[in-house]
Amino acid sequence: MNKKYLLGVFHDEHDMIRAAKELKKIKIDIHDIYTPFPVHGLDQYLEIRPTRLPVVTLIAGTAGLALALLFQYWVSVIDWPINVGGKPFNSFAAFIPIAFEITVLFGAFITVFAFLMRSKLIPIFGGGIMHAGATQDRFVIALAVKDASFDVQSISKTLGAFGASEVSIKEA
Amino acid sequence: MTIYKDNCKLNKIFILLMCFGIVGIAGAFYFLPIKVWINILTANFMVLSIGLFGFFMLAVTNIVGAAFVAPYRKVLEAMAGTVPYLGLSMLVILLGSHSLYEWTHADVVMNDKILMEKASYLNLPFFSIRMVICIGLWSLMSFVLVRKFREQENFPERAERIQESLSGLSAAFMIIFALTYSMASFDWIMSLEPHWYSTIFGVFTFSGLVVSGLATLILVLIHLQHHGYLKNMNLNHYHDLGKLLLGFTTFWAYIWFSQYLLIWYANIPEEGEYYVLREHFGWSWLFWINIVLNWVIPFLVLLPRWTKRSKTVLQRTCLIILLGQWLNLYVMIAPKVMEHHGVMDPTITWIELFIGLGYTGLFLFIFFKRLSQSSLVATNSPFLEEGLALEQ
Repeated sequence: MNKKYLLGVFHDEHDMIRAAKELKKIKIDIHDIYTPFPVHGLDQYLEIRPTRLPVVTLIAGTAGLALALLFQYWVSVIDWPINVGGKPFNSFAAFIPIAFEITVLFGAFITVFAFLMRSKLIPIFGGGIMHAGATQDRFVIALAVKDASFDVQSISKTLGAFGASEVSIKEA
Repeated sequence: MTIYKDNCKLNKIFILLMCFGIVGIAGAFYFLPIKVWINILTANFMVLSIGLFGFFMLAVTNIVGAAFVAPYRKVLEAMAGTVPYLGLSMLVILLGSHSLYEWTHADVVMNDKILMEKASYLNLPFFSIRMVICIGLWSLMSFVLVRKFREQENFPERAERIQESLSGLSAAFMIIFALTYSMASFDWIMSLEPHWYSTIFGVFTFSGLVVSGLATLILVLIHLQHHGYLKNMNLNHYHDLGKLLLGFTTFWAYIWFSQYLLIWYANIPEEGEYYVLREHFGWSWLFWINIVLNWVIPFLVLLPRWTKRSKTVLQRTCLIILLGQWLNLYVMIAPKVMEHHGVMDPTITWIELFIGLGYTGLFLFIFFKRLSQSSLVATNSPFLEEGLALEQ
């Protein structure tokens, strides 16, 4: 069964924030808000719990660090030891630059992919664009139309009263 | 409260700290005279760098038009205002130049081919001239910046135009500062080991300047807020400073390692002696603690978001960092001078503590005097509103 969403499209972020606050007050669940750029403080109005993304970064970075050190140890001590300027095979100082780079690489890439997956911005993970305007210059509040108790007309009116330039139903 | 009232009780504490410093210097003269000059150079260079951080931060934020410092810009001005005084007290090391610098001994230079070739640069008259020029330029530049800001406060109609002219002026100042600070580090610290050289040395001392300056700034801001000043600063401002601190402690570690790796890898005797001396002969424990205090602890502590938003955690981390930065300079300065004098004393005693406290007192005394001389609010700054409304 397709889900139905009621979309309120705003030109101005402040209008959108006011509308979101009002919806919160009359106890309407906001499915999500789509904006062309990060709007500060929005996560507070929506009462979204703090992001767990830093944990992902930490684990990814630590994994990268460990992997880089182990790999270099395996290459230069176990698999193919080469005498470089009489230095010991297991020269920790020489491993650090590569370990640093791999840490950053793992941390950065895995964070970005985890973010895209969790926020459903990759098409194959259930993406799809709710409203094309949100990719450009509009701010879109999406409300899930669940059952008959959801009064589409009166809520549309509320959205309009707060300055929504367009109110529409989207089936996704 | 927009004006900082000079606090008599605090001033007494600072004067007491300075007395500790004098006792420390007297004690060092009695027990181990070479420690006097080592400690004066270490402590004075450190507080002078912290003062210069005020100047640096003002200049950099002027160039890029950054608003986030506007709420505490006057604190940075007071830091920059200490530069002339601490620069003047730095001149004291000229008296101890014979004890500190091997190249001031004519008989040593005569018998050393490398020092002979460097003699046209490393000689006492030229050294003194360079020192006076560096300190003079820093004092002048800090003075001009603070004066321009004062003008902005007094003439609101010209505020925007002054801000614009400041960005050009600061860019020129920044170039002069980069060259002179690098030269001063080469002269005052690197020439303690006249055979050794490291081209990244100026960048390394600069990274220490930013780290110790940021730590001091955060501590001072927490102190002022605790006493009811700067009420409109919020946790977002501390969060930003915490992020900078995390970034710059890592920058410090990066530069430390850049210098170490190249010297270790090339393995040339005259470069390597610097680390051979510090990794052996009893110095190794201070050498490694230095990295723990300056990078391992701050990095792990400041990584999560909440620690940068907690004044208690920030305060403790900053104290550890300041201790670490002092040790960093001490490990740069002390080993070679001691070896040169035939003593090896890799311990931190009450002499180091007292002289360190003395210079802390001197810095804070001048700093708070400068802070009380004008309002704490950067009136008419075009960035003030934006800086106060900082959001995360």
